[in-house]
Amino acid sequence: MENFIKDPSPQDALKLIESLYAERDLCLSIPYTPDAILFSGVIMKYFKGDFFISFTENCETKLIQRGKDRWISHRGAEVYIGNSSFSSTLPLSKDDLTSILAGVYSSVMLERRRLTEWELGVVEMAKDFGVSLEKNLKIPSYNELPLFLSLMLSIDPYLQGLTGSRENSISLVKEIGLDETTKLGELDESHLNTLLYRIMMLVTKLNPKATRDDVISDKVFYMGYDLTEVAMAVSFFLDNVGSKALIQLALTPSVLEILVEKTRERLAKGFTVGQVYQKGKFYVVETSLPSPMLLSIVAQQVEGKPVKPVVIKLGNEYYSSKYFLESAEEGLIRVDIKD
Amino acid sequence: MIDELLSKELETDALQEIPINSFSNDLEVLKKLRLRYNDELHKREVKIYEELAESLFEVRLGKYLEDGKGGGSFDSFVFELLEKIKELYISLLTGNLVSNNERVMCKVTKKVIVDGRTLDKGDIAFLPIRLVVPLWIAEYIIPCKLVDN
Repeated sequence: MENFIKDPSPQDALKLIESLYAERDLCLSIPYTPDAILFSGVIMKYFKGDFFISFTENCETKLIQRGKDRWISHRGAEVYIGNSSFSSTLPLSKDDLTSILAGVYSSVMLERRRLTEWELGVVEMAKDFGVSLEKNLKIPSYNELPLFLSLMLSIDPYLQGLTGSRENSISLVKEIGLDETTKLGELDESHLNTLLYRIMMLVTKLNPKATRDDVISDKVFYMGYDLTEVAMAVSFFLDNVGSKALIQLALTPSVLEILVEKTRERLAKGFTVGQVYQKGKFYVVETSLPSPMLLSIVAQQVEGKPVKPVVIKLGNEYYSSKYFLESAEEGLIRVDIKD
Repeated sequence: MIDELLSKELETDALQEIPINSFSNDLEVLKKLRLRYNDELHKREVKIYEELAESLFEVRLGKYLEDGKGGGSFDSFVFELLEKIKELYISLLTGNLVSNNERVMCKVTKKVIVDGRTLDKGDIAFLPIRLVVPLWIAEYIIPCKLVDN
């Protein structure tokens, strides 16, 4: 079906997407990812007839994802969009920009990849709507949050000892000669270099080949939101509430504020990240944070490769997500693993 | 007969418990009456029973809406159905449904064919509320509440 030699042509997806609106009713077969769900939510928002989302391949319109490769197909027409997220192919509008960027960035975050050329083009066009792009540390919301909190919330890079730990993050900030209220933007060059050195030390402990590119990347901001934190919030909500939260976000973008606030509130309480190991077909992460998707990002860094399926061990129980498992359930799904 | 049921119902404030076997013999008589006769006199007799049944329905419905108790009777299905409609109504009006214009997001709870499409357990459907009610009552779907109670 797919032509692997063909070059990606995400620009061709727009015509296909527009043709969807000519249907009397529409059924989309999609993978269970924040990106695909947000894409579907935006399509549904403007669709006039009955609308269905299937997580099996029952529908004539399909969002297909194999590894990082993606295709959109509809009634025999198929567009290969390469590694670009589904959401990046949606018509760009101010009303849907939050959902589009949340879809793009969740795909980037969960797959630990950089923005594709196409996605960078989308971000470039979105600058007209107030989006800004800067190259800086990957830690979340450094413009808004005190540095220690950004470090504590950082799951990519996973900063062993700092991620999830308020105490250790504050200690590090103090060791550098700063305090709990200092923000990244207030650091002078000397502090910045010391911080970068300390971060690189932690990152290279996990991955000796890590370079500055592993901790510095293109950061996208929109309406004061750091898209890294937005991606964390939609993943956290998908893990804990299910697709309805993301569909509601597509319908009412202003709920993003609540998703980000609640996720931040939970993560800022602190969480542990313990052992990461393989058990049968599963990668287990011992943690106190109820989010298999977010912890999978840590697991990828510890294992040094993409890992699936990920389960988290909360107390003595194992849980995963529909993102990793074929299941009719959503939210945290209990997995039976014998110790 | 139905007139007795209605009289009893009117005498009390609480809903009377009416098990189906308490009037099953009367039902047989009425069924035979309907089958055997087709003249105007009997049609009028049947009409009177139908009006009594309608009155009983209205009285019992009024009582149920008043105090929300209605289990154990032949018509408890009406109250169960009303409970679901009431729940949906309240959720719709208080912003607890994931909805877009007139369509409500629902989760499929068992395999079903809607608009000729096969949906599996766990799939999602956005349907007009008039379709949501019967499919929910038949337990094929559950409307998605933004926050579960």
